[in-house]
Formats: sequence, C-alpha cells, structure tokens
Amino acid sequence: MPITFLYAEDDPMSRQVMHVMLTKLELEGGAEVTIFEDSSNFMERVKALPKVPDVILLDVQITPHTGFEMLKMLRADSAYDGKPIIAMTASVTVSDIEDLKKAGFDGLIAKPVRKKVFPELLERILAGDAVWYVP
Amino acid sequence: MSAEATNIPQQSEQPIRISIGTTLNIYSLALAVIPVFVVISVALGLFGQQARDQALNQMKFIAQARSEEVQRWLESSQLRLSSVLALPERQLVQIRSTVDNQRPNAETVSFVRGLLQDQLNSQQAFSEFFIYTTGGRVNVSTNPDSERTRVSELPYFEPSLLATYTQPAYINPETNTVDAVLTTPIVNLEGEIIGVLGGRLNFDTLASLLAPTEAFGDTGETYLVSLERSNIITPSRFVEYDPTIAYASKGIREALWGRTGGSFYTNYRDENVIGAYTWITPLGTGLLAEIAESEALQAVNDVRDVSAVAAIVMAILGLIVGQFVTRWLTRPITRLTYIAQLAIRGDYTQRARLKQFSEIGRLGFAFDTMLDNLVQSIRERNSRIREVMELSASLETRVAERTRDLRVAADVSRQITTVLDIDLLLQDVVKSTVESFKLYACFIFRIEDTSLGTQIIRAAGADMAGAVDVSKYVSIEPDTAGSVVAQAAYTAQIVTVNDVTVPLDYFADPQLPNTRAQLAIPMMLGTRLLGIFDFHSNQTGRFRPEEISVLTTLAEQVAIAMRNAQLFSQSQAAQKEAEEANRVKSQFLANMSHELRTPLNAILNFTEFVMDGDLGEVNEEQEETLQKVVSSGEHLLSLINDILDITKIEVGMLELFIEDVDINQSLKAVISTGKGLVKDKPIELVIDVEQNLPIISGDRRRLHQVFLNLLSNAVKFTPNGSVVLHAHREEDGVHISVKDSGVGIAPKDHPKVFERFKQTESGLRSAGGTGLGLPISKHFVEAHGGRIWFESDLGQGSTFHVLLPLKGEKLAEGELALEGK
Repeated sequence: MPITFLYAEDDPMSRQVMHVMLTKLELEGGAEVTIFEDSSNFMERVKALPKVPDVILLDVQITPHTGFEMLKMLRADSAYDGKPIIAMTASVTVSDIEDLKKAGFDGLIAKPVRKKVFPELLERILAGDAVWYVP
Repeated sequence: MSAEATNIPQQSEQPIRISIGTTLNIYSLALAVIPVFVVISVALGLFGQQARDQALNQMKFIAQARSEEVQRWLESSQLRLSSVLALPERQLVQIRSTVDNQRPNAETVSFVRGLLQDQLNSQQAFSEFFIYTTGGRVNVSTNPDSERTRVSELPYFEPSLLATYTQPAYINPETNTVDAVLTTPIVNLEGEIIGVLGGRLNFDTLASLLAPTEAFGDTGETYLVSLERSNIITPSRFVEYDPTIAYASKGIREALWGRTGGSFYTNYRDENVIGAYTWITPLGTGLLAEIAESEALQAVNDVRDVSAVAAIVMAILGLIVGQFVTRWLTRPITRLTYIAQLAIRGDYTQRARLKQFSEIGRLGFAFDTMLDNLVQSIRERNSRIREVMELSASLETRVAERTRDLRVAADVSRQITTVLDIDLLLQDVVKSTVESFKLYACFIFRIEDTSLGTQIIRAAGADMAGAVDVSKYVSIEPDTAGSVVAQAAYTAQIVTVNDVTVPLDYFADPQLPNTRAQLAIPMMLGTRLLGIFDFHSNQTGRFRPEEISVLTTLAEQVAIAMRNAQLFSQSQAAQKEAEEANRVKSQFLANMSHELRTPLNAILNFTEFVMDGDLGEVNEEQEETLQKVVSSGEHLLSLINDILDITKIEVGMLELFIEDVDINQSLKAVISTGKGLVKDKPIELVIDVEQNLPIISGDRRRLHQVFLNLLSNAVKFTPNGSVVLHAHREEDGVHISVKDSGVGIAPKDHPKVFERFKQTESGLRSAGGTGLGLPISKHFVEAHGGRIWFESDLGQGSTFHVLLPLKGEKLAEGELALEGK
C-alpha cells in the first residue's frame, strides 16, 4: 500500500520540491501525493479524496484559509482523528513555533527540508513521533 | 480635679475589716460578761464542793444511824425470841415435850402452837415462830404448813444446835423470798439442847425501818444488800422489789467488802449518786444510803441558773451601754472618714463641723481647716493648669494646621510618584487643596508658549460646591487688566488680594461670584515659569502670611510634579519608540528568515537532486560545482539561523524548550554529521564517549547545535590530523570536549573567541563562517546552567570544553563566573 499524502501549498517552488521529493525518493511501499494550490473549499476537496490521507502537510501562510484554520476544520471532523497533521512553513521564530504547538499541530517540518532527512522525518511521523524539525 | 484624685494612694480605699464600733462592742461585752462568769464559776465551784461534802456527810450519818437502828432491832428481836421461852415451867414442859418425842401428840402441838401464836401476835419483829428437833424436823409452827417439814438442810440448822444464832439474810430457795431467821436453843432440865425455837424475821418491819423519811427528799433511800448474791433485799423506791436480782455499783461493792464510808458513784440504776455504806455483821448485809447528786446539788444548780440569767442581763446592759459609747465615739469618726473619702474622690465641698469638744472634735476642726487650705491650693494650681492648657491648645491648633499642610504636601508628593498623568495629578491637587484648606475655589494654570505667544491655560480647577466645569477650556490673556493670575504670570511674583473690593480694576470671574479674597502663586522651576496656582476664598482677609508660606511650598511641590510628569511622558515616548523599533527589527528578521528559507528550500533540494543524479547523469566536475552550490546554500541557511538566534539573544527573547535530553543520542547524531564532515579531509575522528551518560534537562535542538558547532569548528580549523570527541560523566555534570590538532588560537586572540562577528586572523584565513557560532554556543550553554571554556595556543590545536549540569542541578556560581573573564 502506497502512503498517501495531502499537501496544501501556495508556493509553486515548494510544491515542485515536494513533488520531486515524493516521486524521486524511493519510499517504502511508494507514495501518492495530492497537492492543493490553495485552501479554498478545503474540506469539500479533502472529503472528495478517494481515501483519507495518511499524512497531511499544511502550509501556514496560505489563502483563503490559513494553515491554522485548515487544522481546525480537520480536527472538527472525526474522520481525520489520529492522522498526523504537520505544519510546513518557513516561519520558525520562537513565537511561530509556540503558536503551532498551541493550535494543536502534530509536528513541524520547516523549510528548507532536505532530501537526506525527509524520509527519516516521515518515518518518525508515521510512527507517531512528535517531530518538530527546524534546519 | 479628677487628676488629683487618682494620685491618692489606693490603700485608703480599702474596706474597713474591723470597725471601731465592732471593737468597742466586743470589749464592752467582754467587760460585762467575763467578770460575772469568773466570779460565778469560782463561787459555784466552791459552793458545789461544799454541797457535795455536806450531802456525803449526811448520807454517812444516815447510813450509820440506820445501821445502828437495824442492829438494835436485831438485838431486841433476839431478846424477844429468847423471851418466848421465858414461860412458866408447866408450859415449858409442854414445849419440851414437842421435841422430846419423835411424834408429839396433837394436843400438845396444838397447845404449844397456841402459845407461840400468842407470842407472835404480841409483837411485829417476827412473822413466824417454829420449833424443830435436833433432828431437823419442824414439829410446831405458827404456820401450820411448815409443820412436819425439815430444816436440816437449811444454813442455820447446824449453828442453831449450838447456841443462840442469827441467820444472815438469805434467799429461801423454796419461796424465793429473803429470809432471816433467829434461833435459840430449847434445853431440858439437864441443860441439854433438845430442840430449837426459830423466829422468822418479819421483813416488812425491817423495810419499814429503812423506809425513807422527809429528809431523804425525792431521791434519797436506804437499802440492804445481801452478800449471798449481791442483791437488794429491801424494797427500793425506784425498782420493783425482786430480791433475786443481782446488782452492782461502787457502793454495793464497798458495803459487801465490809467497809464503811461514802463516795460519789453511779448506783445500781445508773444514777449519779452521793452514797454512804456500811456493813451489818449479824444480818450479813450491807447497808447503803444514797441520794441523787442532782438533788443534793439542787441548791447549787439553782444558784448557777440565777447567775447565768444575771450574766445575760449584764451582758445586754453592757452591750447597750457599749453601743451608746460606740456611737458617741464613731459617729464623728465616720463623718470624718466620709468627708475624707469625698476629698479622695475630688469632692472638697463638704466639712465635718463636729459639735464635740473632745479630742475628736479638735481633730475634726483640724481636718476642716486642712481641707480649706487644700481647696485654696488646688484652685491656685488649676488656674495655672488652665493657663498651660490654653497655651498648649493654641500650640495644638498650630500643630494641627501644620500637620494638615504637611499632609496635603505629602499627598501631593505621593501623587507625584504614583500619578504620572499630569492632568489627573493637577486635578487631584486642586481638589484636595480645596478640601483641606476649605477654600472657595482653586485652579492651576499652565503657561504655554505657542505660535500665538505666551498663553495662560487653565489645566485644573475645583471649587467647594463642585460648580466649576473643569473640562471647559479657559485661557487668560497675559495682558488682562486687573487679573490677579495674569499679574502673577507677568511679574513672576505672588499676588495677594485680601479684599476684592479694594482694587478698582479687580477682574472678577463671573463663575465665582463669592470670591472675597484671591491669591495667585507662580510655580517656578529655577527661573522658568511653569504655571500659576490660583486660590479663591469667600472670606475677606483670608490669606495671611503663614498660609501663603504653606501654599507657596505646595506650589513648589506641584511645579516639581509637573516637571517630573513631563519628563516621564517624554521618557515613556522614548521607550515606546525603542520598543517599536525593536519590534520592527524582529519582524524584519522574521520576514527575512521566511523569505530566504522558501527559495533556499528550492535551491538546496533541486541542486541536491541534480547533484545526486536523480534527474539524470552528472559528471564529476558538475557534481563538485553543484556541491559548492549546496555548501553555499547551507552556509546561507546557517547564517540566517545564527542571525535569528543572536537577535533573539540580544533582545532577551531566546527561550529554551526544556525536555529530557539523552546526551548519548544527541552525540550520536552529531557524530554522524561529523563523519560526513571529515569524509573528504585527512582527519581522523576519534570518538571517546562514555555509554549511559545521564539524561539531563535541556533544549535538544540547541544542545545539538552547540555540539555540532564545536565539532564543525574543530574540523574546519584542522587541515589534517585528528579531532577527538570526548564525553564522560563527572561529579557535577556531563563533560563534553572537542580536541583538535589544528591551527590553534594565539593568546592575544583568546578574548575575542566568544565575541560576536569576530574571528581570529588565522580563523578568517582558513575558513569563513559567520563568527556567531561560538557566542551563540556560549549563550546556550550558560542558559542551560552550564559553562564553556577552551585551551589553545597557536599551532598547538584547541580543546573546547562544555560542562552541563545534571538534571535538577545547577553548577556552582563561582565556576560560572570564571568563564570568559
């Protein structure tokens, strides 16, 4: 069974990096990634997915709904209970990270994320570890 | 007055335990009663003794007399018995014949009986005559029942055969009565005793001999006691006659022992008696004469009772007289005491005025005179005290006024430190000034230099009625004629108008129609005029020099307060500015970080994908070039991180995420990176890490950053040779050190090592870098409560040490202070 990802990201470069990362890295069992370019109609689009994603990666500074709002929507729906929701952002000041933790994100992968650490981070996230990665 | 009263010693108020009256009464009673008691006691004692002796003698006499009487009676009875046989021979023959033969003929017996009966009838001493043979057989008796009985067993039988015999009284066992028998022998012609004539004594006669006479009174009696059973054999006055009952008493005992005498004792019926006793030999009985002691002493007791009554009467008389004397004595004393107690309580109005001419009367007069003198001196002293009190009251008023002034000043001072909003402060000041000084109104004007010239603007105001609208903007033109405020501002001098009707051009405020006096004090700071303190009173002549002086002080205080508030608001503005600048700077750096990280994400990843051949083959040269791009990107990233960190450190915003940190695991990740670092260099990486290092409290990411910084520095500054990572537990923490064989640091450069943006010359030459790594590391280590230091010399390599405290501990402060200094 391939691992399914949902990645919401409005920066085209970041989307491309993630795309290459997930397709070129030989993840165990393979990977299927769905990328949202914005957060409009977010829940409808998430629910329209054929399968509940194994990992949800959310950009924080994205429109029209911020990462925090998307997190809140997902948390309100029990279908996504237990699925790791990870923030992907370049904002990594102390207060930024505290805000993420307070909001209830399961972890953080700060940009830039490198191909040599990404598979290990994923592995830990899937194992249920709280990963707060800031390079 | 009450003040004097409390000075009197308190013991004078003690209650009187024994009053003079009581004492005198006790003494007069004692005087009346004791002598009577003593005299009576002695007299009664003597008299009583005499009476007892007399009674005893009387008893002795009676006993003696009665005893003699009984003996005489016995003797005469004996003679009487003998005389029975003093008969003519013819008749004697008849009598003898009654005992001659065993069986006398009936005629003879009858004849003799008749003879005996005649004899018996002629006397009273005997109750029975009887004749018995030597064989003990009663042949004839005046009591026919006795005839033919035998007497041989009776006590008198044998003695009676020898001579005339008197049988002592005995209890006849057959009749249980007392018997006394006299006998006389019957002899024949040859003189031989052939029989015995017996006479039974008549006890009634004996009893009548002993019967009491008038001299015996109510309790006197004489009675006989028998030796046989210690029983009373004559009737008693007091107990039923029963001769068989044995009795005991001292008298009975003495009598039965054959003694004659008298004594005081308890008799057979437990009565205290005076008794005499004697022994009547022929009858074998004791005789006792007794009289009850109470009766014998009746006269004495009567005297005693009369004396007691006399004593009581005398006591009462004594009491009455004593009471009279007592009252005569104590009334003036009580009066004096009362007056004295009034005086003690401060009432000097009463006088004793005793109407006696005794010593007490003189004492009362002296006392009254003393009180008069005392009242006089108190009066004098009170007038002096009043003077002093009046003086002190005026002083108090002045002190109170001064205190009030100081309180207002203190309030203002306190407000200066607490209220830094100048408008609020001034409003508070005028309000409390109006209240404290009871003014009609009070204002503070501020002097402001504007483009329109100097303006006098009302900043605060208050009046007693609360009628002034403070919010209303009021300004006074500096050249307003007749305005006290304007004049004070213009001259910078205090202006006082104590009667507003006097200055012809007085400028009256239409809002304050009741102003009668006005005072304006300029508030100066050095030579600079800050404002005018304006006071209104509705009393003409209100502002006197003392008050002006106080208000001037107040105005000075307010001036200082205004200045302070100005300075404070200026400094607050400056602080706000600085904070804003800081915030902007932080925001800028955060934005910069965000904006740089996003493209770096693409740069680093795409370059690495290309470099690693994920997107197609690359040759070695291309790969090397791409590696340089990656390195530059990484350097840029570390620069961004370092700048962010140092900025946070500078503004004190860097916080640690403290959690349990496994040093072994942390070092493992560092070593893994380190291996990559030395991969392309001729450097041997030596790992000397103790297993199972203790878990410590710390920020995992920051500690990793520190260790990696030290290791990458070592690799960076070592062209070839070795880098040794050493970690072990020490007593006070975990010691991690990185030793290299690199270029080393010249002693002159040592102070720069932990300074920001400073690299040693040799460092700069050999390897670039931000110059922020070690300062950041130092901060992190110290933030963990640890310390960091190094040993190095040029060309000798360097060793950097980090000592981290164990969980829950901190390194001693002394060690911390050594570091970096």
